[in-house]
This record gives sequence, C-alpha cells and structure tokens, in this order.
Amino acid sequence: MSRAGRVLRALIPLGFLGVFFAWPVAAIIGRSVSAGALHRVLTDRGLRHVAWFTLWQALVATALTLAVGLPAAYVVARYDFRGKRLFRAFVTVPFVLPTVVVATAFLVLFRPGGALSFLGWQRGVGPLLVAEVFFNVAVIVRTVGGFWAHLDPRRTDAARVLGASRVRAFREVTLPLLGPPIAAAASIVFLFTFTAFGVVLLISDPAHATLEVEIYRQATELLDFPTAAALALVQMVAVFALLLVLARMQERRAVAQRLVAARDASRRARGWERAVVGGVLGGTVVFLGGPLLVLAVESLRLGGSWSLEPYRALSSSAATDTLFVPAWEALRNSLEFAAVAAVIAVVVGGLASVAIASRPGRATRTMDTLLMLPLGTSAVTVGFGFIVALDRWPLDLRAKLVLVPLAQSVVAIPFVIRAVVPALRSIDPRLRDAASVLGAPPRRVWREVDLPIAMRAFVVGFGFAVAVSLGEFGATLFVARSDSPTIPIAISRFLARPGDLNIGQAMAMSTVLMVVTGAVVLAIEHLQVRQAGDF
Amino acid sequence: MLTVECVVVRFGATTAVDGVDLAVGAGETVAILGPSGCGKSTLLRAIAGLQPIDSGRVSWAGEDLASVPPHRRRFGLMFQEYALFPHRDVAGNVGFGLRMARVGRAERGRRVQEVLELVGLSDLAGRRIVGLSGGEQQRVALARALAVEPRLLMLDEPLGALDRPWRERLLREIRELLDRTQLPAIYVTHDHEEAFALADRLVVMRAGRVVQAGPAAGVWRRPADQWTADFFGFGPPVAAQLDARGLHTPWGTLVVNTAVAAATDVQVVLRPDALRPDPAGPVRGVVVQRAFAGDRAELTVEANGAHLRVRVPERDAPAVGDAMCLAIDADGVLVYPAD
Repeated sequence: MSRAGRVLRALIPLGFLGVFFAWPVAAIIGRSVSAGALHRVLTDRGLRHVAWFTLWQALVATALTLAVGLPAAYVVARYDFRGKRLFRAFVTVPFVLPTVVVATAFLVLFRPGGALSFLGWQRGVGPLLVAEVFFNVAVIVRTVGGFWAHLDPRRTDAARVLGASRVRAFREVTLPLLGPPIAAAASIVFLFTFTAFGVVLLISDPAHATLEVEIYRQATELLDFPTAAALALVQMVAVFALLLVLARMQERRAVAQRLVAARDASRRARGWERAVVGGVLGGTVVFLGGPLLVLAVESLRLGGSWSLEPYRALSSSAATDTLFVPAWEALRNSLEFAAVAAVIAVVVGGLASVAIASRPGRATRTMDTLLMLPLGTSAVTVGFGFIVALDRWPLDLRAKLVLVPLAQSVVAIPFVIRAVVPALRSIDPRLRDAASVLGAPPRRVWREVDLPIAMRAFVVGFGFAVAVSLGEFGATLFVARSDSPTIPIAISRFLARPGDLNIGQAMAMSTVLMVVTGAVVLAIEHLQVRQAGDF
Repeated sequence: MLTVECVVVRFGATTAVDGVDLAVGAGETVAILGPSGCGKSTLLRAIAGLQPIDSGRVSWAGEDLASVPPHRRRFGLMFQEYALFPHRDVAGNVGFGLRMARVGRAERGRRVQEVLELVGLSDLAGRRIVGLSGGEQQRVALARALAVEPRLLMLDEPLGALDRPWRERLLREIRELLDRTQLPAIYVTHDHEEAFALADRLVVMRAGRVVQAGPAAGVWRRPADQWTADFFGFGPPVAAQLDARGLHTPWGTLVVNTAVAAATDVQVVLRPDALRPDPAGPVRGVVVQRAFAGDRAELTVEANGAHLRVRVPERDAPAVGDAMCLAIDADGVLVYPAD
C-alpha cells in the first residue's frame, strides 16, 4: 500500500479517538484542574474512604476470582471431556453479559425469599463480590487456561522422570511458567473490578460505593462536575499506572516458550482424576449457570405462582410510565444503537488494527498503546467526558441520539482491536511474499491474503462490539435521553421501583437481553473454534 | 540468463549477503549450499525482489531488475515450509498465480489439472491444505510455483521438513522434473548430499560470501578450505608438516604435488575415498570402533596416535581390536594451512 494510504489508514482511527475519546478526557482534566477540585478530592475523608473501598473490594474480588477460576482453567487445559467446546463458550457468557442482567440475577438470588436469602446479605458487599467473581471467572479460565493448554507437558514429564512428585513437578515447573499469565489475567480482573460500575450501583449499598459510582453520583445527583472530574482523573491515573505495569509484564512474558498444540497436551481423566474433573466442572457450571437459570425461572413467576404477567406487563401503560416509552421501543433502541455502534467500532477498530499490525516498530507500538487507552478508561469516564466536552461549539451533540452509539463504540473499539490484531499478526509474512512472487500487486496481496484470513476475526470483533454495546450501561446512562432508553437503562429503571411486578419486569427484560447476548456469544465462539481448527 | 553481481544485503550492522556473484544459464540447476544463517535464503529473496539489496545488481538476460517488483519478475519461488495459503484448497493454491495473470477460468482449470498431474496429485485438487501430509504439501508448493511457467525456479530448502524416505523420493522427482522441463533453477539447501544429487553446479556459501563455486564433483574432490571439507563431513583434521620431500604425516611421508621449499605446518584432511584396506598398505593400525551402517561398516582405526575413518563392506569388516593395514590414495589427501 502507498505511503499516503498508510498514513490515511492510521489517521482515521486516531482522528476518531482524538475527538471522541482524547478530547472528552482532556475536558475532564481541564474541569478538575481549573476549579481546584483535585486538591479537595485528595484531602476529603469521605472520598478517601471511597478510594480505599474501591481498592480493597477489587483486591478481594481478584483473589476470589483466581480461587474459582484456576481449577477450571486447569481442567480445561489438561483434560479432554465431552462438551469441552460448549463449556468454554458457557464460561464466557457471564463475561459478556450486561452488568444489569447479572445485577438483576443476584438481587433476585439474595432478596427475601430468594434461593440464597438464608445468607441474609441482600444489598451490600457480599453479593457485590460474588457478582464480580461471577463476571470475571472467564478471564482466568480463558487466558490462563489457554496458555496452560499450550504448555508442553513433556516439561513436567521430564521433572517426574528426574524424581519430582506430581505436586513438586507442578510447583517447580508448571507454576513458574504459569506465573506471568496468571499475573496478567489477575491484573485484568483487578482492572475490571476496580472500575466496576453497574453491579456496584445496583447491588451494593450506599455506604459501599466505588470511585465509578461516586463519579456518577457527583455528576448527576449533586451536579458537582469539578469533583466528578477530579475523581475521574484520579481513577484514570491509577488505571494507566496499572496498564503500564501490565504492558511491561507482557513484554517480559514474551520469553521464548515452546508451546504445543493443545490437542497434544490434554487427555482423558483416569481414576481419581475423574472425580476432580467432574467436581470442578460441576461446581463451575452451578456457580455460573445457577444465577442465570434462577433469573429465567423467576421471571416466569409472580407472587409465588407461575405467570407470564411480568412479560405481559412490559407492554402495559404502567411500564410505559416507568420507561417513558413502550418496552418494545427500548428493545428497538438497543438493537439500533448496538448495530450502529458495532459498525463504527469495526471500521475504526479495524483500520486501527491494520495500522498496529502492519509493521513492528516504535511508531506502531506507541499507536498500540494509544489505541488501547480507551480499554483502561471506565465507561463512566467516557460518558461523563461526552457530556462535559460535546455540549458546545464546535461539536454540540447535546441531546443528539447519535451520542449513544458513539459512546458505545468508544467502549467497544478496544474489543475489536483485541480480536483483529492477533489474527493479522498471526499471518505468516511468507504468505504475502508467496502471493507477491506469484504475481499479486501489493494491494491485491492484502485482498487475497490478509483479508480472507482475518475475515473471521473481523466478524468476531463485530460480534463482541454488538454484545458490548447491547449491554453497555455506564456510558449510556450519561448520554441516553430519558425518552430513548436502552434495555439496560430500562431494567435499571424497573429495579429502582418497589414491588414484585417491577422486579418481575426487570427479570423479564434481563432474560430477553441475556438470550440475545448469549446467542451473539455462542455465534462468536462457534466462529472462533472453527478458526482455530482451520489454521 | 540470471546474473547476480556483487549483491550486498545488510540487516542493521550485520551483512547477510556480502558481495555475492552468481550466474544461472539456460536449463542449468545451481545448488547453493551452506549452513543455516549463511545468507542463502536472503540471497534467494533478493533475487525474487522480496528483499531490497543495498548494492550490486540482479539482472535477467541483460535487463537490470532493480525497478521490477517481485510480482512482475516471473520467478517461481518455493518457500521453506511451503507458505501455502491456508484459506484456499489445493487447486486454489496452484491456480493462484494464474488468477493473478488473469488467465480465464477454463484455461486455469486445465492448467491446474495439468500441473497437479505433473506432481502426481491430480486427485487432491479439492482438498484443504491443513489435512495434507508434509510430502503432499511439498508437491502442492512445487505445483504452485510451476503453474505460472516461471522463467526461473527457486527452491528454498524444499525437503527440509520431510522424513528421509520422502526426501529421497521427492529429490528424484524434482531432478526428473528439472531435466524434463529444462527450467533454469536455483536449489538452496544445507544438505550436501541433496546438492550433489541435484545440481550441475554448486555454490558453497558461508557467512554471506561465496566460498567456492564449480561443478559438484570438482567441489567435492577439492574443497577450497578446511571449513568446506569439514562441512562435507571429511576429517578429522590431523597436524602434519610439508616440505620439499613431501608431506610428513603420523602415518609416514606421502608424496604430494603441492610440495614447498620451506618446511610448513599444515592440517591434513582425508577424503572418505582416500583410504582403502590393503594387507600390503603402509599404514598399520588397530580398529578402535566399529559402527554398523547397513551394507557397510564405518571403522575408526588408530594408527600412530591419529584416528582414521574408513568404510568397508560390512561382511568382511574386522572386529574392534583387530589389526588392520590401509593404503592411502594421494589424490584424496587434502592439505590446508594450519591456523
């Protein structure tokens, strides 16, 4: 491709993120500095308490997630069992489920008369931690399990032959090799729990709020923009520091590792291993599937008996009073916004991926980091930045519907990049050489080699963008007009109202959203598995 | 036809190809032989136009190719580990170049079938690449390179990843194919037996430079330096002295035609065909090791403190500890300066 073409290809994503990410962030920084709010925030006792709670709940949630996720990662990596593909897909579902759906499910579980009501937790830290673990188990199972599956088992064999016991071999050989991926996965979980918003807002009690929730509260309830901006800045600095450490770790992780095909590393369980494998799989399925099943079943019950009333009530005028629009319109809003957001995310994220993957070098590494910044920025920050920055000349988008898909796409772009860049990078450069020697001009090479091989990754990225946008809550809450709610917003409105029927309708809408998102995720997983089998 | 003059390729501070000259004439097969990392693959990429050269000239029939991009050079290149397109089936791979050349669908199908027959894969046209065996992939890669009727065929370690029986079979087939098509070819390998079996001419490369070039038999009989002799598996080297009377080795004085006036320390390497068992031979030694090699036995004989390797028919090979007399053929004694 020509030089001008390459520059243009890089300018589009940089320009988009400049306007819809960097500028809002800059506006936040400007707000916090100009009003001297930063100093106030750093010295306020109440806010320090919020920061402290944010930190420790994230640390505890991360530790718990590791405890739940590592056994499943081990079983997936080392054993063959029927339905393994399905299990991997199933584990991923909670991760992409909208936060409001998960929040609804756990509220239902812990509410008086709920399946886990005997714990007496209701709203508060307990359910919050459980929900966060539920969300993030997939990160551990997929990243650590994925790495583990490709670890050459002959190394452990070598240790065993040299006289190490099973446990010793694990401690001396496997664990040191797994250390870096475990640390990386744990950091990602920490990042997600540190910036958790939806579950905290909906499940936790007011005394236990995270920075995200506090930013939202300051901005929308107290209308104290400078304080909200200062809090957002503090959070961003903390997150970026963590991201830098993470990037360093990943560089070090790149030490030469002999990896093998996952097929060679796994086998059927024998003897007592069967009990372990069965126990871990069963436990994981119950933990991840139970709340969702309860949610779906409970949505069909009202006042102790079976009823379709929660679904029927969605089209009632009472529901319209709560949502300001009929429920089906919220569904239509969600689908439309998600479709537009996903298209934007795939175009911008796709172009960015091509630029990142094209050639290694300092320029592209810098760009890689720049483009990943939105991943580390919380959804609330994005939404808050939108209302702070895009409300005046030259870009006054106040109350414009387009704000919603734009904000959702900013949140979704990193997911597209994550899906596409590895696929582009994995293409053997000799394939391009081969095409070239066989007579393909440079632009044709891209069309004949890169595009078809990475096509599935683009589709997967699109699917992720759809799933993320459908469930997006934090940013949408800021930018959505009250007369055009999305499903997650609608669910949160039902949850905020008392009464069995309202929570019943929240459950009904959550179930619908869960089914839609689950279908998208299963489709993605199907594509990914085929891709892995092909190449 | 192909002329490479003083080509230099640098990667940062290292010079991968350091002033290489090479010519390939019509119908000629030239083997480039060298250890991994000697720059032979880089040289191929430079000829194909995939690797920009820092200086020198690559030309075809007198035309400088500097401004001709790889897709217009019409050189076939068979890649190490084949670089087959995983997203296309066998026919899609083989027909790729024809499609680039805008050959019509019917004609393309005919050509693909023809080339697949040539490499003996005519019934695999619709198969996916992933399920193919190494040998089958190798043939697909060969067919893909041949389908566009290139004016030069370059093969980069084409047998590198294959098991021995496959290697020998495919080596024979490539030889037949090159003989039949009279296609000028460059064959890059690190295996001297492959190079000997295939090439009219041999170019030995080391650290980016050409060490020796010439007909295969001539290069084998007289390796230019001790490193090349070692690379061919000759040896082990033994210290000796050369003066006006001849070559003084641990096994006596040999008359050689490289005698010099002043006494010089040298290294002597014996070519495998230099030694033969001879009851009246001047070298007396004891067999210290005997290795079974099918119809032959490879013996290590200790004579006057130096080790000699000699191959004899397995059936009448002496046992370890037996005494043995050997004759040395002066033509097989290679003399190199001591370092």
